[in-house]
Amino acid sequence: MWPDYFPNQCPPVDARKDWLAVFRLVSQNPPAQGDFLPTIKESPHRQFTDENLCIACGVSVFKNIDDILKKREKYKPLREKKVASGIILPDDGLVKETGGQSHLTWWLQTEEPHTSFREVLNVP
Amino acid sequence: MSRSDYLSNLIKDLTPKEIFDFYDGPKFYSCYDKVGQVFLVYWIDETNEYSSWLYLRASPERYLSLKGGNISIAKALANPEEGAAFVVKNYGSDFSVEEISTAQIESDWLPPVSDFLHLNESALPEKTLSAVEVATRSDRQVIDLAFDKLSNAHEMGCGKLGKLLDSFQNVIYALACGSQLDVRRIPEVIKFKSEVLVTGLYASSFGVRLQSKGGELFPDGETERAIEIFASLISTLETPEKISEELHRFNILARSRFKYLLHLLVDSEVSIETDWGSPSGSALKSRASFNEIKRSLNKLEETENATKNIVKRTANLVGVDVESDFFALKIEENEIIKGKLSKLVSSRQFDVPSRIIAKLEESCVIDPLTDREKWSYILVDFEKQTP
Repeated sequence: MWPDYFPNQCPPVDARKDWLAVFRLVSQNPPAQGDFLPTIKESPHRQFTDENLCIACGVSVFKNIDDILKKREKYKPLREKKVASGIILPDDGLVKETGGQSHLTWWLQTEEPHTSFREVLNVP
Repeated sequence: MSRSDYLSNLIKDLTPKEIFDFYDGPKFYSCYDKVGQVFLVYWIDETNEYSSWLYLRASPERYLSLKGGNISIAKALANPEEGAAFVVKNYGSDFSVEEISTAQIESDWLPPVSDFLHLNESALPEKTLSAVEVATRSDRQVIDLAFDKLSNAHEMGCGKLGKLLDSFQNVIYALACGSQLDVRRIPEVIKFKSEVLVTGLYASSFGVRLQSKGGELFPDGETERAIEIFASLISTLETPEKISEELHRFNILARSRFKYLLHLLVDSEVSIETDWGSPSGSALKSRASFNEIKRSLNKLEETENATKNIVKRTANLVGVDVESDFFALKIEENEIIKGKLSKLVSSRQFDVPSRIIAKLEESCVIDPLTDREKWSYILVDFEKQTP
């Protein structure tokens, strides 16, 4: 059901199916499939706990636009990205609050997560 | 081994320690090397071929300061303490390491200067032994006082901590005088014997370990009892209705000083936890939340009973002015005390000077501005003593 590279107990048992309005940083407008790829990949030191590796198997979305704008400011690779809003439906995968603020990890079970997302205009 | 191999091995062998921020996985975290040296790791760039990460060593002090929000993330990253950092380019299954100087750290790699971590970390060591374990090992009385701030900060203003400890010591002095109800001044010998010493600090959120003086040939029962009573009084604060009655078992000085300590705890916005242990193995743990302390103080302030006392003193009546309800008594050690005449006695006849047994209502209040104890007296009744 989940890819082989997912660590044990990933997604966590308390991740849920939900209906949520969320924001995500994307490179393209309209958002493309490539904007929703999990970033887990080989790294120089791979001894993260399974729990933390599991977060990298999902994608980050935020419930609050202010939180995603702060995140965008924080890292150079994110500063040119656009803010997109969209709806996660129960069949789209599992979600769980992780990492504080309104951050959620979304473990995708849809091939086309980008289709419900649109760029938010008039974002500073 | 070449410098390049050394750096590659160093980076490869790092173990993740704490993750501070996520975006599609950890993006700002710390690692440690084989000897425990901490590195900060921050995501600084991303291309189709590789992701770039800034690595820099951090001293324990810098690390704690960063986690405690005393230094911004940008400032910590832009100013490596050793004057150099590393840029690690991760190509997936391979990576490269480049050593750079502080000047080469680009400002656009960094977060806004207003970004801070606030992880509420303590620089104090964890408490590993209970008070009674330390007491039996050191053959000294031990009381651990933990002040938990409402803000849960792990640091405490020195003025507030100083006042709290000073007040605690004053309560111990007064309690060490026993139940003799008319104590007004602490005898020097009790001050000497009952002095407690700060012997350590611990995280809890701000814990202070206090111990009686060691090296006594004969253990001092009064000090032990005073510290035990203090721990017991703290547990009484759970039921604020009982505190006034409980305090009445002790002398007026102890009562007013304990009340003042409660005032300081409320003023400092802390709860208190005590852990007392004696070399004999006796122990008592108690705790009072901020709200319990506040409610107990309110109860004590509803009535002045806690800081009032009726005592009989043999004294020389050396002055009376019935028009202004004034009297003056010379008591032991030629000390003069002055006060008001009660209505009952103001109509009576006085012989000045004369030897009397005075029935006095004494009250002791500590001025929160000056920390000074202010005594006041009302002459309730008196008997003339025949010469």
